[in-house]
Amino acid sequence: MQDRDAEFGDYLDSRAAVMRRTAYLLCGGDWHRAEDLVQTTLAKIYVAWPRIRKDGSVDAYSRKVMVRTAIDESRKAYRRRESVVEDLPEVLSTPPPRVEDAVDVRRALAQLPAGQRAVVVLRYWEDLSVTETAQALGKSEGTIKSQAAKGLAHLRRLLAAGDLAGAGEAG
Amino acid sequence: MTDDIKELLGRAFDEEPPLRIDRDEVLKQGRKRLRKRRFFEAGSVVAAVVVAVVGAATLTNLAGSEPERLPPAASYPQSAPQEGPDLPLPTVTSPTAVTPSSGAVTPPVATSGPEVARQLTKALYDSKIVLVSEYEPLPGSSGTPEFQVDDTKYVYEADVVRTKSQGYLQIVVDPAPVTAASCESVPEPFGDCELSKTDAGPVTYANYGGPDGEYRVYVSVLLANGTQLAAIASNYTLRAREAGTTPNPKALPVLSADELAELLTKAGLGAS
Repeated sequence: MQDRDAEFGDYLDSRAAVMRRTAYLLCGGDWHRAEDLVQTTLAKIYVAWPRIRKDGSVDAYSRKVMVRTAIDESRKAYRRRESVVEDLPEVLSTPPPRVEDAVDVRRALAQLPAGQRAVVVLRYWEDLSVTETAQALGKSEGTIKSQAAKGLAHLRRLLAAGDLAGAGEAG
Repeated sequence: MTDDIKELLGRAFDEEPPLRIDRDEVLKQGRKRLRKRRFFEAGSVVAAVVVAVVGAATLTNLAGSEPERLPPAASYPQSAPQEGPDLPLPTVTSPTAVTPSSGAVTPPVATSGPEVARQLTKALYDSKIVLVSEYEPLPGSSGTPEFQVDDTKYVYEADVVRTKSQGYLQIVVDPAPVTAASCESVPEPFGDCELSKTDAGPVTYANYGGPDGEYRVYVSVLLANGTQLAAIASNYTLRAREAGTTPNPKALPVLSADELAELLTKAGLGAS
């Protein structure tokens, strides 16, 4: 157990900051929720540590746990009640936000459905392939391609067309 | 294309705050999840052990006063507790639910969860049903095992290593009032349930034999004040489980059902 704690602690120290950034995007731009998500993810990883370390699949397992936890939490009713999305203006009723503004990127992300957001984050932030993203989310590759396309299209409507122009092909 | 999107997503990270993830807290949560998983694996999720009550009652008895009801580990408003049981009833096995006898009302114990946990630990060790030297901390822990506050319950876990036997022991004290003991409350995968009425209150016995040679016994006691005590003993230490060693199928649980019952009812016997 001491070895487990030491090895896991080293992994935590080396990966927590990177994980938090991914979690931040998955949460639609909330550092507090991102840290909660990372902490929960790490605690779940700890339980499976001997197995996933032996398999050499720690990062893949970590992504899978984090993204599924994020999706699960986003589906909870209290999250819906507390979501900042409900306070945002309707997309079509307001001019597109400036791309340079980080707040706009966060708001755009926050408006994506959790599943689409997860696909976009895994595909374009974590640089996973369609196959790897499908494995992480437990969905078919066709679904991943579809959701990536829809997610990018949604972002395109929210952000300046120039930044995402031509980026909508999900394959 | 992908780089453009990645660069765009990266713009979301303005004013990134310092990392506040606490390594020790994560390890603590991880260990807790691990314990809970093992707890479920042991089929003891529903078990509510009474050592804490035993401890508090024992301490109270030592002080020459009436036993009192334990406070929940996490403080919450509760109704006035009931006094200990009316005394001794003959031991009778019954398939039906058994309700503990009730008595006069005593004031609640105004003690914090950690303090109660400490008292329970002391009571457990003072009982000497198992020698202190025979308790070993779980893998990853050090020092003498102690009761821990877990939500509204008190949980004790240890590997017990005796001269001729060894195994895992778990005791749960659940102060949340329960009105009747029943075999229906015995957790999966335990079976062969028997319900007996004793001086201390209804006692439930059950056991389980796993395909890998692990053998577990389960005992719970419902005290007259509604506190439920439960204990599980096996022939498979967590240290051995952690090491991947298979249990000896010929070995019996480190504590017998009678020893567990004695452990749980010791304080109840003093609750008069």
